[in-house]
Amino acid sequence: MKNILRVALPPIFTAIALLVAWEIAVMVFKPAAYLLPSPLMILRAANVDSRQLLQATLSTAISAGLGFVIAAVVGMTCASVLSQSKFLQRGLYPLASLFQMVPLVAIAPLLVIWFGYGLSATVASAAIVAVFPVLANTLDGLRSTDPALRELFHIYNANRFTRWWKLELPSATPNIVTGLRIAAGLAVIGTVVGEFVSGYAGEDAPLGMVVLASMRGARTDLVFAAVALSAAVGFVLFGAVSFLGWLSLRKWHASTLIH
Amino acid sequence: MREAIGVHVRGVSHNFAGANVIRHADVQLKPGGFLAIVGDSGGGKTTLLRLIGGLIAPSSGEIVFTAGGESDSQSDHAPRGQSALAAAQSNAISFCFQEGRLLPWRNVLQNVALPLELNGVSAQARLAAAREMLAKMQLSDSEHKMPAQLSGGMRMRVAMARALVTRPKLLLLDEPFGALDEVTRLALDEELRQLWQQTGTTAILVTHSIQEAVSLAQQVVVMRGKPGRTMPAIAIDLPKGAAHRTSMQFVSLCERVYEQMTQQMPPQATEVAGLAR
Repeated sequence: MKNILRVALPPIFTAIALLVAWEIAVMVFKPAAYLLPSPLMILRAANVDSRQLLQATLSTAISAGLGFVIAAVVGMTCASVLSQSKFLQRGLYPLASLFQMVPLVAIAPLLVIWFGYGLSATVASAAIVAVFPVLANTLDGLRSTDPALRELFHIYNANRFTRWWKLELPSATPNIVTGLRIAAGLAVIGTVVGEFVSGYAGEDAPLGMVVLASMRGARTDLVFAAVALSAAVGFVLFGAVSFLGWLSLRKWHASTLIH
Repeated sequence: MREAIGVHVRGVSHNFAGANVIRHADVQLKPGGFLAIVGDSGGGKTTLLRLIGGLIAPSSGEIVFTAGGESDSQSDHAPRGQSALAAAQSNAISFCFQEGRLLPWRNVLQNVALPLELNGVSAQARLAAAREMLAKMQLSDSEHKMPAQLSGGMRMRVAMARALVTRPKLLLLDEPFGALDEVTRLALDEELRQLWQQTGTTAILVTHSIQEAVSLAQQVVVMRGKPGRTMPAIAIDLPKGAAHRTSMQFVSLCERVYEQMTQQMPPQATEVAGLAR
């Protein structure tokens, strides 16, 4: 408990101090509200439109969550297949790396053409950005299995599947967790980018749409609120993944020790 | 107890990456015997052990396993390496390595049960066998500990338990206690000796410690030179046990092994090397 507080308190204090400084700065310099609203003004605006904002947050969270899960499953599966074949690895991995270089914003319109406006396009957008870190980190982990342990499994006459399931995958867990943590943050970014291009207005408009609509209406306070909420979605997803990673590694891996 | 097997290494040479690592190694060991291979680093001790275990195939010569008159040959004519590796893979041969090679994400019990698990033994049967082995080695209290929680000596004891859980006919030990402090090492030497007596398995120990070799084995083979060659085996006929490590007989046997390790190489050996080029 003491350890957790020691880790959690400093950033919380820093955040509060920054918010207070922001509030005071707005009180002193009095910028126009559409340029820079103060934290309290943002809070009040968010409170007024709380129903719509919650709906939007839920919609974005669902899309980011689904995109993340798809990226995790596809990334780990592809990495596992690639790890079993040097031939496939040579043929496919460079292409996967190149594919990673294509800017998401540039292909987002394609996703709208293929998936139409709405949830499937934003989920696809989230999955596409999040899949590569999972793939790359998992493949790295699978390939860096201790050769001495590989030899042990060879002596025990383990087949390829058993070696993957009982040796390579567990030994790659730290890398997989790293990949998933990066993917969690990226999934939210992918979702909001997707929403900018393919989002839908109306009752259940997602956060990306709230940002766009509020910008057009010069409601900077609501832009800030939506930005903060999308960051919160990312934070929760990242936190959940980190916690699950910690659970699976805490018994044996050095990375789980709090220093 | 499964029947132990004897080992007969005849004129085995091994080349690796164009270099001759072992030249004409000869070793003979009867079923249930204990052989120690000593020599300095790079002398091919570990390579010879891996050849016997079938992890690599000899470039020439043959390794024969004997069991009550039958013999299972691994020679130039037979498909190389197959029979020994098959024996290892059917759990007839067990390895115990210096690094222990425990899986860090498995607890002690699950690590010891691993060879049986990979051999398709049911969960109930393999856990029972692993628990029995742990009990025999007074490790039962540690069955839920993770390898990272164990000392180096404890880790090696778990690795020994894992090597013995399959009731091997031949146990191959590659510097098992090389990384341990002297006190722990003496204790584990004694434990290994008792386990060997209890199980009746054939054992081959690779070590750089002359004292360890002489106090544990029935015969000691010195390997030396580059490429590595085996010297004539020295029979050790001593009462076993830590208490005898100070007897005159023990000391003089250690001296004989030391002399073999340091004396001039027989000239004939270098001639053969010259001819081969």
